[in-house]
Amino acid sequence: MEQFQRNGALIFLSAALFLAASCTSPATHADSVKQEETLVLRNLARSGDLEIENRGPAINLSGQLIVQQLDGTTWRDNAIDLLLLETCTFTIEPGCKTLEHGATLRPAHWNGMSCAGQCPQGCRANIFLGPGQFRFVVATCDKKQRFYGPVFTLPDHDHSELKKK
Amino acid sequence: MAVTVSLNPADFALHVMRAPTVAAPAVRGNQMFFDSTPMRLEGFATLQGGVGEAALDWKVGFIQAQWVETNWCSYRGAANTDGSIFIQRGRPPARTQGACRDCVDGSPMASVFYSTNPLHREVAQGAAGDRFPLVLRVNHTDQPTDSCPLTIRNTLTGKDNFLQEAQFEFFFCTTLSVQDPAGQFTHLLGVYWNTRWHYSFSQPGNRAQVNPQGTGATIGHPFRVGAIDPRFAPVFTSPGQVQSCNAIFRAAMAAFQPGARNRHETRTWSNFNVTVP
Repeated sequence: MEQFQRNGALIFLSAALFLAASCTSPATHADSVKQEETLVLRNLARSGDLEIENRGPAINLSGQLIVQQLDGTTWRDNAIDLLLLETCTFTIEPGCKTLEHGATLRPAHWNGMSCAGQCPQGCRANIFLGPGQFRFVVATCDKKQRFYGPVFTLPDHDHSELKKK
Repeated sequence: MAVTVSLNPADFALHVMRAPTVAAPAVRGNQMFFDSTPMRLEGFATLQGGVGEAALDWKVGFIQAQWVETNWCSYRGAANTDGSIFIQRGRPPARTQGACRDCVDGSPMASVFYSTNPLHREVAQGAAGDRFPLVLRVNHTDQPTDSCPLTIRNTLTGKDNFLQEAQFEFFFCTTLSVQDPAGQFTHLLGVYWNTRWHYSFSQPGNRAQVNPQGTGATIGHPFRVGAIDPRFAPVFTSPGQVQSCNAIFRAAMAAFQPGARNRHETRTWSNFNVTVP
């Protein structure tokens, strides 16, 4: 199980740089820098499964779960609609979600699709985003801080087991 | 000489790499999910130009319209007095328009192409330093899906009604098209394709029974595009088309809510006319 940790100050700086670079960030970020732990994002065994652990004080998070894709040497936001929902309740989720100290959250599995990637819903235009390298990103409710997960790989669609839930 | 699109038949092509298929419906959580396998196209177009000219801002990609949407689900209670429900999601007012331009979520409708997200590699663009003839290759994929809740509470009887029958039909046309720097399109080749599901369900266990006449997926042979089919021409490249097919479908989901005009409830078991809103 991979794990990635970063402190809030570094994240804030990264977020500022990220925004300045028009929603791109270099893949050479110091991902291995280990600082005071706050929010920890872990990939689970299956690509597209994520666990978020809050080791810091209670934090108010944006309800949106961001997926970034590595494009050459640059991480780019993939404009897909994922949420920090744990189950597919088909009710409107609040815009933000508070994660208490010590709490963990496992968002619903992302199957790699551009539309309805977490829950079975209707789609017309719908693309499988693999193959490629991806990472999850969680932001604070005010979007001023971002927390980056470790890299995971999606295979091409023909070899993907992700959709078999 | 100015940069132009080559209309020599040897200079452009559209290949069906994978035909779509539909999967049998399956229960996912509290939904019956109707899935398909991805259809996949590959194509290329060729730009001609002179020495010193550049193909900057020339784009090759795919444009897709959906021109048929059938979309309804009917429900029935365990006993006659538990009632029935019919949900019509394919007609107005729930569905605000018939044909629509189909663009991936997050790709601007104004850009017209199915997806201009560079990560999707659906559009190829000329660059400084390109030499002519310039061959631009692109890929296209789509995988339409839909779902119905397994159970809906009948507000007239207060009883749960269970999914009894559902029909979905999505018909598309996809073209390989070139856009010049002035924004004008040349549509080279196109292909019609569709996905269709028509199933009935019985309790307990949501056992699915297929209607084979209404279930399947087909894709035609690529054809040279003349005039755009009038059944979807008004939405094909129009800047006035601001809602994608995904957005239009999601808006139609409001038909689920009690009191919505496209939701019909009865106090006893009923058969519904599926051609009405």
